[in-house]
Amino acid sequence: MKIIIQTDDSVQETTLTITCKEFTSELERLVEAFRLSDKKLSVKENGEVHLIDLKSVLYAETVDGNSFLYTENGVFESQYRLYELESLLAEHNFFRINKSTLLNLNKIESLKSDIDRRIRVRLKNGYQLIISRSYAEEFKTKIGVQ
Amino acid sequence: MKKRLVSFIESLLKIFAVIILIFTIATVIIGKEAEAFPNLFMTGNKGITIKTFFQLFAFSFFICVLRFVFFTDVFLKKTSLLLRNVFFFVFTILVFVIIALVCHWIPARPLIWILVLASYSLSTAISILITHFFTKKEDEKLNDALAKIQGRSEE
Repeated sequence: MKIIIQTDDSVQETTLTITCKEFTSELERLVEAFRLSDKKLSVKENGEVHLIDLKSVLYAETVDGNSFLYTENGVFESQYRLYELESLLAEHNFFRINKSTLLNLNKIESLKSDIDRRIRVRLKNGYQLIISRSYAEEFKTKIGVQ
Repeated sequence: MKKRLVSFIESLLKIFAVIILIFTIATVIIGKEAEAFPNLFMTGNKGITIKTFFQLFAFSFFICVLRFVFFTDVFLKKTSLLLRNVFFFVFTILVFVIIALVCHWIPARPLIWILVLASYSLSTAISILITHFFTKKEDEKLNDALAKIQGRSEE
């Protein structure tokens, strides 16, 4: 892959142009990485790809093998599997809380110990999620309690 | 389902082990003097009879069922931890009274019943309060740590 970087003092906004024969999944991931550095993530809605602000994402969930991002404004389908989202979003304060959910820690309103060593999460929009027992210890380590 | 069954059996064996341990200690310490409870301490401080052993196993089984009902989300979905503890406490007393009546653990003397139930209630209430206190402390720690991590992320 040839990389060309041009600097120009008159440029107002940095623009990344990709010239390729075919837009492969590898390139797609590369573009996603650039978008993530801008705190944006691509999602699908009615077959079209949109960009959403990472700050607006409450949590990601996998249902029947498809991943969905839940925001304050609606639910969007992601082209990524949950484990891919997990690695993409790890640096952005997202954390796996059970087998099917990835949570934006910045959207948590409060935490409460629950039965069976689980933790009940109340989100800023009032939703409630559960951190399962097998992820609770890791979660405590992540936030620095253990 | 299989996981739940294994967890239930594990829990049953743990509860039974604790009850047997407590009962064995009680037998050694007060077995000889516990004349008021002839059906529980049949052999004085010499040990536990097979009959008592199985009665205690039945008691452990019912306690385990109550634990399953009140401390999983199979039957109660949104009940608070404190309320679960209170329900568990009330129902364990009921189970205890029923088994004690069926197995004639406690003689039919009101004063003895009052003393047994009062000591049982007191110790359970204390354990609920201690659990509640530590859970609250743990929640405070969790929320403080979360606030810190959220603050760092916003910077």
